Amino acid sequence: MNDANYSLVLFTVLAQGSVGMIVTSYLCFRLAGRGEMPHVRREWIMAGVLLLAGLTASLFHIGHPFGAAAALTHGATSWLSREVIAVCLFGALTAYTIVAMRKSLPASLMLGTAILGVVSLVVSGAAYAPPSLPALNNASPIALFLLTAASIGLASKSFFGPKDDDGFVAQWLIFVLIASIAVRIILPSVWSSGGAVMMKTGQAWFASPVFWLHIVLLAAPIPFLQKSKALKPWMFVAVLAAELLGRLTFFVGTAATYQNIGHLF
Amino acid sequence: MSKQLAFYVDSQKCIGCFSCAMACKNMYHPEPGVKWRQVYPLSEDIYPHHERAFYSLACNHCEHPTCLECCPVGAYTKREDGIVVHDQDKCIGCGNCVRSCPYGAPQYNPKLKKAEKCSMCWERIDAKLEPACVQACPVKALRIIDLSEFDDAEALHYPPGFPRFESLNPSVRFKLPRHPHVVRRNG
Repeated sequence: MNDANYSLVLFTVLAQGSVGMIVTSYLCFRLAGRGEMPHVRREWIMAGVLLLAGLTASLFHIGHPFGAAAALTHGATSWLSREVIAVCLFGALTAYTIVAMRKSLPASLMLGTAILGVVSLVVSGAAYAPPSLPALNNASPIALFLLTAASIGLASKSFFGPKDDDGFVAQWLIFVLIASIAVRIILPSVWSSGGAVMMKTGQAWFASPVFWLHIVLLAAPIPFLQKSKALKPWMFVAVLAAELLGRLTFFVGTAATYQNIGHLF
Repeated sequence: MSKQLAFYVDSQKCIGCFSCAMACKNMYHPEPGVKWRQVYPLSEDIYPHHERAFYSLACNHCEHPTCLECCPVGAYTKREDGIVVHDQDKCIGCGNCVRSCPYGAPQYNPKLKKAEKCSMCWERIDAKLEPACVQACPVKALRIIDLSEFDDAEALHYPPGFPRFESLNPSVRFKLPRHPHVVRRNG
């Protein structure tokens, strides 16, 4: 239906995954009552690398990437400008926190970075809710982006441990994956009973094999997690692939109002 | 209300000849596939007759343009006469305006890798000339009106088949196509 905007697919999923990893890392660090652990810094470095990869990918959707810095200038009204500002600030604070972690874990700095990450995610959700896409011109992009961040962030713990956290993280991952699947089925179902353009969006999502593959990949880790409560690296790969395919559906399958001009709305 | 130039689309007169779209192409020579003005046939749900009816649409130069608001580099400006102008020198080709406009007005130029759209031929307007599309219409189905002075109770703002976005307030008015007179032979 629309162009597959691969660079935006990569940017949004990787940046949201990065936020998810940092928020999960901070919450595990605080809620699980752990002290200093060397894996936390590795986790943050990995999140920084993901964000950097996402930001690099984002340049490829711009016709003139060398002018990208100008996108910081119209934050007064443009959600895209605000997104660029928020993500860059989040990246800068992540880098600073990683440097500060050489001596000890700076809890308040980690909390500030995690909060800024969530803010950048909400701003990003607003940037992808234009009036031309009635199905997304609401809070649904923010909800989808939050779920992406949570699922990738929790699944990433399979690489970073400690293994004592597995049961706690596995329970949350099961909850987030079920919530993700539910939201992704409910949204197009609601759209399918809406106006003409929303209905086309719902039908396009449900008719897409990519959409169903992403649902299957999201569901795949659930029975294993329920059985063993152990996180495995393949689960991260499955969740990341699912989120990339889901985002592809988000960009390709969402109908725009101008595609329906001349027909009843 | 301050001055706001707008297109008046008379679908009763429009014969769908595409002269307006061709005049626009001849004037600006956009890349193949890039259309600043398009002629949309109305579906049978809206106009169920053998004769067809059309909306000739380009940028609506909205009162509150979403392209102007969403552009991250401020490449769009609104003139005092209401015309929304896109500055290609500022454009970085992010495509956000293309994705955001509910009327599909900004188009992506794959050669320049920048967005572009109808300018309402503001250079011609400044020279007291009609836009190319208006001048080319053989049946005078397209006109430029000033909404601050326009007063036609029969003109429609959101006819069937045209997306309704009151927050943007598109600067366009329509006259609906007349339904053909049905002649029934008795006996």
